[in-house]
Amino acid sequence: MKKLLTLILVLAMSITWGSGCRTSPQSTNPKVAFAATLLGGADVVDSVANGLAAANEAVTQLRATEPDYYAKVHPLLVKLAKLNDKAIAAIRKAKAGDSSANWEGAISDIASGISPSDLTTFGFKNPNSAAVAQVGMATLVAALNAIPKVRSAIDGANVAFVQHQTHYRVSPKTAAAFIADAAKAGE
Amino acid sequence: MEYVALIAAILPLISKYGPTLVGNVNELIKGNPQKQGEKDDQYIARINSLIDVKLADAEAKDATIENQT
Repeated sequence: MKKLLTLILVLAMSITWGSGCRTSPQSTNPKVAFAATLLGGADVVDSVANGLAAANEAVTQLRATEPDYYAKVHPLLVKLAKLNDKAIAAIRKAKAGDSSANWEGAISDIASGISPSDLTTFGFKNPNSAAVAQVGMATLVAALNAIPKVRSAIDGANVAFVQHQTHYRVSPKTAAAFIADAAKAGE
Repeated sequence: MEYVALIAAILPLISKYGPTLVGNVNELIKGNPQKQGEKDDQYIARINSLIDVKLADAEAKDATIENQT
């Protein structure tokens, strides 16, 4: 059992590690860079949704034996699902060419929506319940912890692209301005 | 006996969501770079389709949680 839990933890931590190693597209076309960046956002909301599904299944499984835990955690999952929906809507707007859509901010709002420790810190009646909760929340916690790193990777990719343009004597832009331009280019 | 109950509770979660977790890790590490010979517009179309699939999947899963009483 310890090996199993260790494996899960290692996999969960590798999401955080892996998020900083994304491969950037080679093209200098702003539309290509923007599509790849937006895909990073879609990866995040999908990872959060998968984590939420696993977490919801765990709390539902514990509902009968740990009703207070369910009463505490399920509303947190609903809150995260709604924040995730906002990020999904913002990504869709950005993809449609709305340069005012703050999808990066909406993604960051998911990470700051709750404290991950609130999902597993609880006075369980049954010691086994704590283990079920830990396993059930592992994917979600990993996804939430990865968000700041993914944001950083997305911002880094944008800055690198801007620097590339500068190198070729194209006027320097901030990463935010680049995103806005790329969104307009997609209209 | 408690140990058996614990394993019975955890195993379905691992078997159902473990592959998803591994898939997410692979996706985040590898990303989706342009393929050799793939034109910009082909790449953008492929990525946009992927984005649509991921957003729809996420939205459906979120809705399940929000609608659960």
